[in-house]
Amino acid sequence: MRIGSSRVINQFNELFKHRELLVNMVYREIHGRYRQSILGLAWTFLKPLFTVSIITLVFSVFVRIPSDNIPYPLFALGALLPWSLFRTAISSGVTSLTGKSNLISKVYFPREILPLSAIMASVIDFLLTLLILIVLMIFYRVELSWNIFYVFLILPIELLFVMGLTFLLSMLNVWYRDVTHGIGVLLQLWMYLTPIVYPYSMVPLPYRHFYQLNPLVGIVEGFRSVMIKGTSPDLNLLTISLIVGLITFIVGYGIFKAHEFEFADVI
Amino acid sequence: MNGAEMNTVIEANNLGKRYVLNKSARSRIRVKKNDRDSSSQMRTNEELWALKKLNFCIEKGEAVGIIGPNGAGKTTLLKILSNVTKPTIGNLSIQGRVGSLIELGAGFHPELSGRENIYLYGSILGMKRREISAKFDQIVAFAELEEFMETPVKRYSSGMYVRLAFSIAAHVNPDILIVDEVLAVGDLHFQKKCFDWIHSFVKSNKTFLLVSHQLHQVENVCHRVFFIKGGRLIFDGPPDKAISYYLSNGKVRRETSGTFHSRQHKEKLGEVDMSEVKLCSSGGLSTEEIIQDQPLTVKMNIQMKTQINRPKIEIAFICDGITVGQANTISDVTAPELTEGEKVVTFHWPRCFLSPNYYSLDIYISDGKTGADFFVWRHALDFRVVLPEGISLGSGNLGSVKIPGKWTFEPK
Repeated sequence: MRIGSSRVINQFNELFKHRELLVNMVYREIHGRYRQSILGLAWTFLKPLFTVSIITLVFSVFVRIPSDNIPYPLFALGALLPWSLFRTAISSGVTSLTGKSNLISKVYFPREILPLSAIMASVIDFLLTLLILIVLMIFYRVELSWNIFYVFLILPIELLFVMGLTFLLSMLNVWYRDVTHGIGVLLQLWMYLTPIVYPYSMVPLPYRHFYQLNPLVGIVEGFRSVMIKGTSPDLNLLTISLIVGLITFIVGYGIFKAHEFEFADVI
Repeated sequence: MNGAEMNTVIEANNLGKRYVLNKSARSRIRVKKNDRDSSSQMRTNEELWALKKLNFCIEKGEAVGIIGPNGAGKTTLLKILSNVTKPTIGNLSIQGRVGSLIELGAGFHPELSGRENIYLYGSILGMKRREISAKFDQIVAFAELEEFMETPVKRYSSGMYVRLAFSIAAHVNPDILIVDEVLAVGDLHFQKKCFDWIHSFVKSNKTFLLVSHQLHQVENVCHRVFFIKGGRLIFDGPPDKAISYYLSNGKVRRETSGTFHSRQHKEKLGEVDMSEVKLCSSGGLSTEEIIQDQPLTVKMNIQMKTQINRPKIEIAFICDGITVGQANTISDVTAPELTEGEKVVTFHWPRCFLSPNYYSLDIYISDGKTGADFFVWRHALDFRVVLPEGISLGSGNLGSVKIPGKWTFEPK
């Protein structure tokens, strides 16, 4: 047990030593992305705006889904932001190792830097897109409540789950590129199994037992509650998210570190 | 622990690396299929030992070259030393910071500017931001890219790219620097700059490891050379000896006749055999060293059990696996027919203008009309070309041949 814990401390030490590399990789990710594009950083705002417009058109104008008495664009964006954070982090994280195979087979550094930098770049995107939500909240005169501070509980839980899952999937992708192809389909399915375009209250009671096991249910619904409705999040749902997130993180990081020296041989 | 032991920076005990060729490593299997002629490399089982039982110690201030044929395990060894991969068995202990240049500029982002890439690549190689800032001007000056710091590196020429990458790596200031085959790039001026830098690096009591196929580079820089073949450390010692081991295919050279007897590449395809081939210098004596601009003679003893009416005898001069030139009886003379019996065929080159290097000869005998091969002797002998005494051309790249031209100077 003592040996195990000292190994974990060593791993975090090693990661801490390479923190500047992590920062630079995030910088590379973000700055490299919109070079040689006219709109540049504006894309970060345009993409979620388009998505919200389309979702509103389809699910509020055509299909009239109830939205807990909140203006639909606000309702959709409040869930879309934490979901987009999850989606971009996972989809860029999955290829973070295989996309830098020349680095992995040529230079040593703690390998988790690569998936972590993909996640951190997504977090920065998330923080920027938060501005759109704030503008929209001012536009619709949303009243803020103290419950908004729950985001500091909700987001760490989401990041825990995102990191664990990204470690697992990016590593699996080193051996089996099927992950790259399968992740798009999986994310599409996952989006519909998460209360984004519809409220959690619409899910029929008998299905909820299984539905709740998706850790994003508590996260997305919670984020929407505290930001827009001003109510406290459903703590039962959030507890499930926390447990699933914690397990995913420990298992994911553990397996990742146990196999990181095989990446160079296989990739 | 005494002082001498304290100086050991790398110690390898019984190091071995096994690759498992399973389904998810398809590419590696494909590589193996490509070199079918080397049947020893073809493995039907799913394991391949890229390195076997390596034992060595490297001290501070040593410059070690690693040579060997392709697939010998050189890069695998470097990867283990630079902690990219772990050995399957054995122990490795390393003291000090390791900088490895297995591929120049592997971490560059093409869209980012030269300045941004210096920080990015520097941190990949393990430098702190503060360190990079302090050395920034030196890095730019060494690379001679002052005017291009704000240009995205995708607009760089390949030479500029390499200059920037090497310059960053040179300023990481590791205790042990590992370089794999990357110095062949860049122009002459920059190559010289790199080698000057490496010399001063080694002089400052640091450790340097170089993998290269360019034997003269290895001989120039290293005090000690490992010859690796088939995953084993075959020879560890002074550069000239290691290189001649390499050139003689790892066989112990026989000093008696002065030629290397490595006949494993001899193929008798028809009723023709060659019992001996000798290289002679200007004096007519058998040798393995030819002085540039002096005569070179190849004497072949051929046994004919049949008659060839229009024989094509061909001698190819090989250097580092590349045919530098060849001579044959069809283009030079109309060779007489080769009748049955024992023959001595002599090839004479009045002025050998090959550049100083290590060479080997391949000999072919075929039918000049039909092209059918009767006899092939690859790597029939090895020799080296040296400069005449008292002439030195420095460490520049001399190319493959000295162009045998004439200079004239006269008033206008």
